[in-house]
Amino acid sequence: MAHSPYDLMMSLALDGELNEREQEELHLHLQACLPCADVWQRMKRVDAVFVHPPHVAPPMNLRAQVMARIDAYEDSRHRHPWAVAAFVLITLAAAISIATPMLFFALGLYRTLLALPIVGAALNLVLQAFATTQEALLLALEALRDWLAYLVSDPVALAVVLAALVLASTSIGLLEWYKAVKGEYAAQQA
Amino acid sequence: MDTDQQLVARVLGGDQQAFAELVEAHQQAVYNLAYRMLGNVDEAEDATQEAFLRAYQHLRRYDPSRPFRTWLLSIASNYCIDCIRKRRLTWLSIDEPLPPHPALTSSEPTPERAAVDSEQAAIIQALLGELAPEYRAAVILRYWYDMSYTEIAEALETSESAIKSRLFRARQMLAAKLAEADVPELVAMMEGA
Repeated sequence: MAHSPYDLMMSLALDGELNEREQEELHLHLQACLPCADVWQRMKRVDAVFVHPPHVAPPMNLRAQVMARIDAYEDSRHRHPWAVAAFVLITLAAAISIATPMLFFALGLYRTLLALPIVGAALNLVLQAFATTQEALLLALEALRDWLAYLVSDPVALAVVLAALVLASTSIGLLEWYKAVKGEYAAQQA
Repeated sequence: MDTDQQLVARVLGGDQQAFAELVEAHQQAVYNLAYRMLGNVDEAEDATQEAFLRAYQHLRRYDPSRPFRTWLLSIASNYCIDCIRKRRLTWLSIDEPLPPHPALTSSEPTPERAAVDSEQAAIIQALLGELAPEYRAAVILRYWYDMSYTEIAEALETSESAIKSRLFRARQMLAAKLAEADVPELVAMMEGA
């Protein structure tokens, strides 16, 4: 916050943003107020330092480097349609691979295949494998459900698990922070 | 010679070479801004490239009724502010001013003038390093790009009153830091320059 309205006026005066009446008002105040006159002198010193900076010459090859990046960007844009086409094809293939077995079972075609000598035996094995996997998944889910139920019913166990999670996430966060600081320090040293 | 707006129209029409002309015309301004904001030549070079690339990518959003340079500097300054925010530690200090850039130039410098320029550059960079990025950008755009409050506000995506306040506060901070730096002879020479 400005300690008086004249502080902000001084900054505006340096930017040539005061009208004649305001300039006169500021001028009269500065003649009467020593602290403000001191601030004004200090702000004028800043102005003197900043008003004519020496220029910094850009590297000779800057334009070439910029245009090289733009060329690379254009190349990636031109490759873009191929990427879209590849994405569509992959999505389509995935959809077909999921939909085909579903239709196969929904339409009952698998019964015909099961009746065939070799194909039927192979299909039977596949179906058994599916059934076994399903059972294993159900068992795992049940075990997880029982464990969560136990955790909720026992406050000590719940506290231990939560503390372990907080500790693990804090450790990971501190480790990442340390890596970032170390990297920045190395970059500054370089 | 084509104006910036004509060059932009040519780029939008597919003439990539026209963008090279825009880069040639504005690289000095963008690079100086980036160097003043970031304080080192490597980051300034990267930021300049990135600013031009972003301008190229978003050229269709450019409003031809506004000066192209203001729009470009807006992209550059916002990118530099983001870069500074990403730095987790600040290494610049008024006590440890950066060495002056080797390519500092001035027209026909006398040895005395060159010495003042070199010291001035170091002091300016150290002083700027003390400011928050939003304040730094406002000072740079006001002093060295002669932008109005309205243009700075547009460039930094804020209000004119915020810019007035930032410039005032920045000047207060700079005045205090300059007094601490204790360089009365240099200031006297620059005041007389």
